[in-house]
Amino acid sequence: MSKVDSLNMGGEPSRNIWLDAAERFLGNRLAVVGLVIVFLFVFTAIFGSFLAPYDPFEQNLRNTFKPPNMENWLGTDDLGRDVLSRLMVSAKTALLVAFVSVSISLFIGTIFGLLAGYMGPKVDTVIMWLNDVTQSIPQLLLAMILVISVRIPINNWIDRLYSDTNWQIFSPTGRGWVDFVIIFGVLAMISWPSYARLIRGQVLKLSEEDFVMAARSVGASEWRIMFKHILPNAMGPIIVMTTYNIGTAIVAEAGLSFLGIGVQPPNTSWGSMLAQGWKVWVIAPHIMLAPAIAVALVRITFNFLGDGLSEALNPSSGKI
Amino acid sequence: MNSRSPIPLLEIEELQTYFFLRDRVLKAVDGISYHVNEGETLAIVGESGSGKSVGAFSILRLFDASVGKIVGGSIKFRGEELTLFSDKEIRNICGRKISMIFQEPMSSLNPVMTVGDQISETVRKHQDVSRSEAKSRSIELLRKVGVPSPEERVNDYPHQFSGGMRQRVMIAIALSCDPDLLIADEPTTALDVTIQAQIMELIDQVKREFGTSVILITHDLALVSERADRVVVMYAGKVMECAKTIDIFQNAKHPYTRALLNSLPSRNFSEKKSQISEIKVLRKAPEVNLGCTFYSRCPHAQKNCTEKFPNRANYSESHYVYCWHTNAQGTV
Repeated sequence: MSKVDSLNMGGEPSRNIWLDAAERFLGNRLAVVGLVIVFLFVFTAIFGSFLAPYDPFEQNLRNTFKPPNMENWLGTDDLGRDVLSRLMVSAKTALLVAFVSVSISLFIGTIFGLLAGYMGPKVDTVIMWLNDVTQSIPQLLLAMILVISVRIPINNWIDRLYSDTNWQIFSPTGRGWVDFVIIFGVLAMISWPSYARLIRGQVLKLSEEDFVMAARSVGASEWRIMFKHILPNAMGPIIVMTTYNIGTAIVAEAGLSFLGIGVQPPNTSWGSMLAQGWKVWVIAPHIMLAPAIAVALVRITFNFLGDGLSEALNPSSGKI
Repeated sequence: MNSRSPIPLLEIEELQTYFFLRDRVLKAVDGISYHVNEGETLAIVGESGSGKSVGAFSILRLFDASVGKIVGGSIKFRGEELTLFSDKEIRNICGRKISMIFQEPMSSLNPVMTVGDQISETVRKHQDVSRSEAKSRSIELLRKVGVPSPEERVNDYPHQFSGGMRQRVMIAIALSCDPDLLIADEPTTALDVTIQAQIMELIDQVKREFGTSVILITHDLALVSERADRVVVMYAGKVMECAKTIDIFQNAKHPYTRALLNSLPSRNFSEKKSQISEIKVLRKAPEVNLGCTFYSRCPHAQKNCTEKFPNRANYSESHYVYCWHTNAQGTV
């Protein structure tokens, strides 16, 4: 049916390119499954603390290391806390870290990419040099170094703020958010180069397009050309890369927390749950398996979504 | 020639636009002069790479500024020296006083913006109007260029238009601020013959209605004979000959112009003309070319042709040629 529509060249009413893309996307079963799981994940992350069957922090030392059963669907951990509840609450950490850090890196990467592609060879050289240096260091290693080197100075600085202002959010017990901010920043720092590179390439390619010259010929300003003509045409690949990068950021956060330098207790994260579980892997595998499967599932899901979007947003990918 | 006509709308003199590439300097336009009078159509013809487009793009500085530069000469528009304008001042003239139509209607429109937005963009850039006024003006412009049911089509995306319709949209954008000069860079090359005629008719109609002058860049000599008032023939970054259209077709002086005309397929199949053969295979041009740029392909080339680029030889007020041997050949 869609084929007939697209062949009907006559006065077929407005068909948005995004609608075409949506149609192609819905034709991809794996991508739709991905989308559904992503929705579930986001829903759980937002409402997890209300939906959780138990208090994720409540300890019950008489009920530790229980395998999955009717009361605790995913069993209990070394302190007798309900694994499912902890998993649901930790989804919030994953979602928050993924979306905020990806947004920051998307923002930085977009600005740098546009500048590199647009401002001539000198700016390009400097930005791409920075880009290469960042990308040449193993990502997790760079993240670890950054986290470790900024944590103490930032905490000292907040100590001082607390003694100056006496505000509760700066107090040693109220500053759980600082871990998040550090992780947001660090993950953004290690992932912006991929965006900058992508957007620079798109800008270089699209600047050669006739419609950019046509826009210039009617007096459009450089800013307008950049944000109205070039960036919207680069949206397809950017969306696809963002989707992949959300998955990557979730894994990276889990990795940092697993190593103990990410989110600190009492905040929970799939990574810290993994760290808790691997030591008791032999006697209570469910404690480690639950977060491991969650991380893997979400990662794979975002990849499916990215593949689907990449196919849908690229009209030359072959499927109509 | 200049004495008779009033001040021309556009006057280009000894314009030089060079491209500074990594290993060499490309003299795309090397000292060209021509002018456009009010309300006339000037055709610029020449083969690919002759600098006909670059010359016109130089007016609005539409080339890659990191490699291209206007290194000499002057461009006067209504008496104002455009080469002295800042980039911002040039932007203000683009679209408002001088607009362009491009060769490829398929790729000259932004695929993710509705055509209405693209027309409004230009309107709002140059005129202080509200969004809704700009939109109704877009509809009006689309109607003027012959897009059917413009009220609906204004919200369509470029891919929903055919090539000819897209070129009409381009013309609507070019006309949106009622420019004095329209530069049409091979506006019909990418279109089929019937659409070509429609588009050219539209450009002519615009010209009559708004009194717009047109620079028609093309290599389609049939088009030139029908639509142009005067013709500039260019070769390798230089002007070879400039004359009224009728003089070019009936009384061409320059060997290159004559070769071009001879290369047109004749309707009379039995007539054996020396067609393309007259333009010889390119000889290797001397590295430093001081002489005539056409020397290496010219059938009448003589030794002195390599020494200096020819001076301008005037045949009449409106007809001049750059060739050392035109006097001899004028009667050939």
